[in-house]
Amino acid sequence: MKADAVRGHLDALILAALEHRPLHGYAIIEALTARSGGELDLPTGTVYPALRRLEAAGYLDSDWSEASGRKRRTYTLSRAGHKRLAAARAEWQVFARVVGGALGPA
Amino acid sequence: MRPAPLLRHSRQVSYLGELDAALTGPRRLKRDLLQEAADHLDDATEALVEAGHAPSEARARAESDFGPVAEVADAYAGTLAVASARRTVGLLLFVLSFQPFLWDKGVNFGKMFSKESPDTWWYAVLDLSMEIGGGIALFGAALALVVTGLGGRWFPVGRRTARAAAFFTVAAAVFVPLNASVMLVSDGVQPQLWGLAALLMVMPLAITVVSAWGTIASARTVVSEPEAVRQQV
Repeated sequence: MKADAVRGHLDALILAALEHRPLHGYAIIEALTARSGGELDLPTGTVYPALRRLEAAGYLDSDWSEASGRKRRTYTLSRAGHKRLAAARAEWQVFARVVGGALGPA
Repeated sequence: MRPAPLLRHSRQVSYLGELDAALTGPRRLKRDLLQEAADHLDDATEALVEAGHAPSEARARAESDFGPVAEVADAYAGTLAVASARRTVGLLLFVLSFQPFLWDKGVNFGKMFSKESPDTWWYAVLDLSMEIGGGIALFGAALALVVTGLGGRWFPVGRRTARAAAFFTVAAAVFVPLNASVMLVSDGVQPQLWGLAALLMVMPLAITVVSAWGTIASARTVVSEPEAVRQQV
């Protein structure tokens, strides 16, 4: 899947990757790749500004911590982030139903 | 907990050096972003080496996957510009918030050092414009502080927003002391009050203007590098 198709949904994808546990940047990108079955094709460097944007909006918290023997910035989904993820899922389900219905075989 | 010293591999120094050179903005945030990039490149390189790639090839692939410097720098520039704008409007809000206390209510240096204010229509206009203009500046700074933070929940907050916040700051930081200066001249004040105005109003607002110029520089479009050069790596 090409970068342009992903960009509009990147925020929700990041929130979903962090739903169950805090992760550092590289692990978030690995989780996104694994969840998409390797289909996501995005310059990985652009994920980090998205993480900062989500943090500024109050959806993520972050801190430097020790992980795998190194100090890394680890991101956690905030309460507002959980709510935003739930809303994004609901929006996506409506979108997928509408577009799927329109594009499906007649 | 703060990160370890930045940059571990000489090749990364080259890639991250280019990224570093392309970015301007708050030093601490820039250092954090570059540190995260360095960590990512370390992790990606290690993973690729474990998958069987030669170390030099793995590093080149990790950098290539991270993205062309121009594209990554463009994304980072937005983050830095918004952070810089937030710092700038925070500073403006701080400086403006104690001005009424210093010059009008509270300490009221104006009354302490000046003669009787002129009872003329134009002085009333100046007074009113200070009330309204100062109020707009304070409200605008508070609003910009919210927009550059939680505003991202409702609309895209990027370089355009940062630039707008910076220009608003410059306008407010010029208007307030200019209006105050005309009022001080009209009041026929003593020199001590000019000194206090310079120290407590003009200098702090000059600092906000410097911060605003920094924000405008952060928000400037990053110069594109030739795509072919980066993709050859």
